[in-house]
Amino acid sequence: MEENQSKKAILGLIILILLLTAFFFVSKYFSLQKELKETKTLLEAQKINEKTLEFAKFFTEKVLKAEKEVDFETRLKLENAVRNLNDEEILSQWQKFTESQTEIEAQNNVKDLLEMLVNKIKIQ
Amino acid sequence: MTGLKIGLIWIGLMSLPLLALASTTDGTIDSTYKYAWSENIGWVNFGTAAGNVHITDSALTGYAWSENYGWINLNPSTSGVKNNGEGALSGQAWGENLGWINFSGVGIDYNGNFSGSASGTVSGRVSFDCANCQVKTDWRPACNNSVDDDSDGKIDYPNDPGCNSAGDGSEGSDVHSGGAGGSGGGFMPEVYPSFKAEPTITKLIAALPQALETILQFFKPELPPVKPSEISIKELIPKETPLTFRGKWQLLTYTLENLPFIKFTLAPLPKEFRALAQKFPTLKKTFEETGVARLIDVERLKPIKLTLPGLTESLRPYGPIGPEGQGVPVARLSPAIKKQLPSEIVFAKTGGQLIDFDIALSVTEKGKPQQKIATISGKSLQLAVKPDKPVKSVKGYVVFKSKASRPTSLELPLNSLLASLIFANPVFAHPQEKPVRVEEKLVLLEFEYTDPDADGIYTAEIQTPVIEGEYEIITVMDFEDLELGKKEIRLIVVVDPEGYLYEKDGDKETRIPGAIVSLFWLNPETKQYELWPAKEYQQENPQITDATGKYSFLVPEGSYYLKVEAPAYLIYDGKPFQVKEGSGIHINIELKTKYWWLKVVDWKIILLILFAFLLLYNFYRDKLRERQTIK
Repeated sequence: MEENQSKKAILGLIILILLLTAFFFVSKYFSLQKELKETKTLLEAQKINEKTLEFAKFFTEKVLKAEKEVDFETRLKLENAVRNLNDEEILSQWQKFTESQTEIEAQNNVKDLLEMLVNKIKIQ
Repeated sequence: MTGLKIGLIWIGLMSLPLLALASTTDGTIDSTYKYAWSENIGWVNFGTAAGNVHITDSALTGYAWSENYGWINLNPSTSGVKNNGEGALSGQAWGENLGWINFSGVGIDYNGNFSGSASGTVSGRVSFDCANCQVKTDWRPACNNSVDDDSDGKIDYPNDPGCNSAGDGSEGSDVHSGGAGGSGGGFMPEVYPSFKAEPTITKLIAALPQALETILQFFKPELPPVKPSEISIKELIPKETPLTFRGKWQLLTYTLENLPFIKFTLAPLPKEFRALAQKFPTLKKTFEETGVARLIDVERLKPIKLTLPGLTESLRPYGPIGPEGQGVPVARLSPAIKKQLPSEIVFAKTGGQLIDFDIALSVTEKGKPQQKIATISGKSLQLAVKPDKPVKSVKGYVVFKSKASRPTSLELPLNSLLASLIFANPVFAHPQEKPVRVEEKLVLLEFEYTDPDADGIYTAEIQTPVIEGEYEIITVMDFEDLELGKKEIRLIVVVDPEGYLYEKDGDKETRIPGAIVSLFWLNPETKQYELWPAKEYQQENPQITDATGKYSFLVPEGSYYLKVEAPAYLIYDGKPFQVKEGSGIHINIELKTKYWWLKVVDWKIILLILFAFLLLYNFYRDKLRERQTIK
C-alpha cells in the first residue's frame, strides 16, 4: 500500500518536473522567438542602410564625379543597385533623375535623390 | 447523325466569338492595388513603373516584380499570359529565378479586379485576392469598356444586344452565341471556369497539396534572397545614354537653385574669428598656415588646442617690455606700446599685474569662439580693456551662472594641477541693442573700470568669487558717440577651489590646520630651487593653513615643487612640476602622521594586553604552587 503511494508520489513528482521543464522551454521558445524577430528587424534595417549607403557611394563616384559619359555597364549596375533597394519612392525619384531634360532639372532631381537616400538611413 | 449535326452547330456557335471584334481597351495596373502574395516568394508587384504591365483583350505584357526573386516576364517569347477577352487568363509567365508560373487559375472580372491564383514550382500559389493582397486594372471586357467595339451605335451591356453580360468579351454579334466556358461565348457567366462552384471535398483535395507544402515549408530553412536578374533590367535600360549620364552637365555646381550650398562652402570665417585673427597676428599666421579660411573650416578647429597670448606676450613683438616669462603692469608700458594693445579684448592679470593669464581659445558646439583663463577662488584679478573709441564709462558685472563648469569642445591648456577661470564669448564686443542685458538677480558684483592715466586702457581689480563654479564677467562700454551706443563683452568665468591638506582616516578626510606650505621654484639664473618670492606677486610664501587646511598660489611660468611641514606629521616633499603662465597651484595633499602606531595601539588595546599578561602570570603562579604542593 505504502509502496503504491510512494510510486504515485514519484510519478507525480516526475510529471511536475516534466511540466515545469516544458513550461520553461515553452517560455524560452517564445522569448527567443521575440528576440529573433527583433534581431531580424534590426538586421533588415541594417541591410537597408548598407544597401542605401553602397548605392549612394556608387552614385557619387560614378555619376556625380563623372567627367565623361557614364557607360552602359555602369548604368546597368546603377539600375540594379537602385532596384535592389526595394524602395518605390527612391526608384521613382531615380527615374525622374534619369529622365531629366534640362541641367537645372537634373540638379534638382539629384538633390532630391540624395536627400531621399540620406533620409532612408535609419539611425537606431 | 443528328447528334453529330448538333455537335457541329455547337462548335460553330462556340467559334463565333473568335470572329468578333477585339476590345480597344489597353489597361494598366492600379497604383494602389498592385500586390499579389505568395507564401513562398512574398509580395509580387504588378504595378512598378519600370515593369510597365499592360492588359489587352488578348494578353498581358510587361514585368511583375518580386521583392526576393526579381522580375517576372509576363510575355516571354515561348509562352505568355493570355486573356480570352473576358478576363479569363491562361498561359505562363517566366521568372529567371522562379521558372514558369501558370496563370490559368487567374481571372479579371468586369470591374477590373484580379481573382484566383497562379501557381509555379518555385513560387507556389500566387494569390491575387487574399486578405491583404489585391490587384486591379482599368482594363474592361468589351461589354463594359464604354467603347462601341462593333460600331453598331450601341455601347456595352445591356444597351448592345450583342452583350449578354457586363463580363462578355464581345459586342460583335447581336445573336446570342450560347455555350459556356469557351473562348468568350455570350452566355459566359461572370464566374470563370476556375472559380466555378466545386464540391467541398474536391476543393479540399485540391487544397491538400498546398496545405502540405505550407507545412513542409515551415520546417524548411528560408531560402536566401536571390539578386534580381541583371538580364531583365538590361532590357529596361535604353541603349542610348540619357542626357543625365552624358557627362556634359555639372550636377552639383553654381546655379540660382543651389546658391545657398555654394554660399555655405565658400563663406569666409565668421567675423568673430576674423576679428581675433586681426587682433592676434600669431593666430592669423596659424590660420593661414593650417588653411583655416572658410566657414566650414571652423569644424576643424573644434578638437584643436589654441592658446592666445596674455597682455604682455601680445605686446612683446612691438618692443622690449620686460623680462621673459614675467608680466608687466599696464601702467609701466610705454605710450607707443600701449597703442599696439588689441582693442575690445579683456585681458586678465593677477599678482599685482605681474602674472598674465594664458588665454585658451576654444570653439563651442555652436561654432562660436570662446576664451578661457585660469585662476583660483578668492584671488585678486586685474582686468584691462582698451575701447576702440572714446567712452563715457566702462562698467563690469560678475554674474553667477552655474556651480559646475560646462564642458566645452576644447580642454584648457592646463595640467591636472591647475585651476581655471573661464572667459567665454569674450573677445568680441557686441553692439548692445537692449539696455544692459545683465541678469540683475544673479549679479554678484558690479564694478567700474577706470583710466587714471588717460592712456585709453581701462583697468579694474576684483576678487574672484570664493565659491567655485561658473561665472560670467560682462564688460559694458558706454561710448561718447551716441551713434555707437553701448557695447558689451561677455566672459564666462569658472573658478576652481583652493588646494588643501588632509589626513586620511578610512574613507574620511581630516583637514590639517597649522601646516606650513612652502613653494620652491627653479631659479633660472642659479639653476637651484629657491623659496618662491611671493611678495613680489602680492602673496605669501610659506603659507600657514587655517582650520580648513586650504592654501593656494598663483604663479608665473616655471618649474616648482611644494614642501609641507606640520606638527605630528611626516614632512611632505613634493616632486617638481611645470606650471604655465598665469596658473594656480592647488593640489590636494595627503599628509602621513608621525605616530601612526598610536592609531593602532590605543588605551583599550593596552588595557587588554595588560589584562592578558596578568592572567598569564596568574596561571604561572598557580603552576608553581601546584608543584610545591606535590613535593
